[in-house]
Amino acid sequence: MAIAVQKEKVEKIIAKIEEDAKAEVERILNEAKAQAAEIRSEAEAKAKAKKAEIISRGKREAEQERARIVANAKLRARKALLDAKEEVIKEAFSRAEKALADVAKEERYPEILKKLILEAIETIGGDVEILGRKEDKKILSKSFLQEISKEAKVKVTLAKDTISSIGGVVVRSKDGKAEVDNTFETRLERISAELRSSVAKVLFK
Amino acid sequence: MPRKLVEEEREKARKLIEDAEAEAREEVKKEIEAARKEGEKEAEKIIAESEKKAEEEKKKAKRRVNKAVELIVAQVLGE
Repeated sequence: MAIAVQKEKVEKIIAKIEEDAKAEVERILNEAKAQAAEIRSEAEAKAKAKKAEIISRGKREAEQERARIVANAKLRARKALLDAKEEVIKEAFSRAEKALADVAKEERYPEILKKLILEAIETIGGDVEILGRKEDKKILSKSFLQEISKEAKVKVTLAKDTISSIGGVVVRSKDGKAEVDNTFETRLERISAELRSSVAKVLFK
Repeated sequence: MPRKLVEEEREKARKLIEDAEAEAREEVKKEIEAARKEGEKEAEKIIAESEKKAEEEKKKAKRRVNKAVELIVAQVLGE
């Protein structure tokens, strides 16, 4: 009888232990499940945030890329327009040089030479000698130079040396220290920089 | 078993984030490519318009070259 009672007690204890162990297992399992759910939830949030961050950065990059391409095109477009203008300006100067070469064949050329010589004398301010073109030898006659001499009140002579030019003269002081190059091409070169904007205004108004 | 469950979940989480990043990068790649194409299209239009404008300007200017030549010659001759 006593043994039967003892056995029953033991069985109850075992059942209790089993029950406690089962509860503990369930508790641990539930805890693990909760932890897993938390990890999942955090990961989902992190993944969402990371994706949003990458996309937002990418959108900025994409816009910058588009803007860079458009800005480059605008620069190229501007350059194309400037190149086109430059081409016409150059054409104008080149045609002007040809026109100046023709001036040397015109009737007014001696008057122009006189003016260029007088202008140079004003700069030099003393006796001068003239270096002219072979082709202008007739124009630069003694009487022509005397006339200038009289007007400028300085001695004007013709140098032995000649110049190669499309027109105009080089005027040199008698002592050779000062010289004014009044050939057409040099005058053109001298004023072309300051003339560019006026030419551009005429061409592109 | 519970530890394994947590470990597996951590692995899944890592993969989830990795996949999300890869997906986002792919999306960005496409977006940049689309922006590039859009930019190039816009650029082509800008260039074509500028070439047309440059040509028109040139034509108009060429009609005024004689005036410009007269101006240059007069300045060179000091007129």
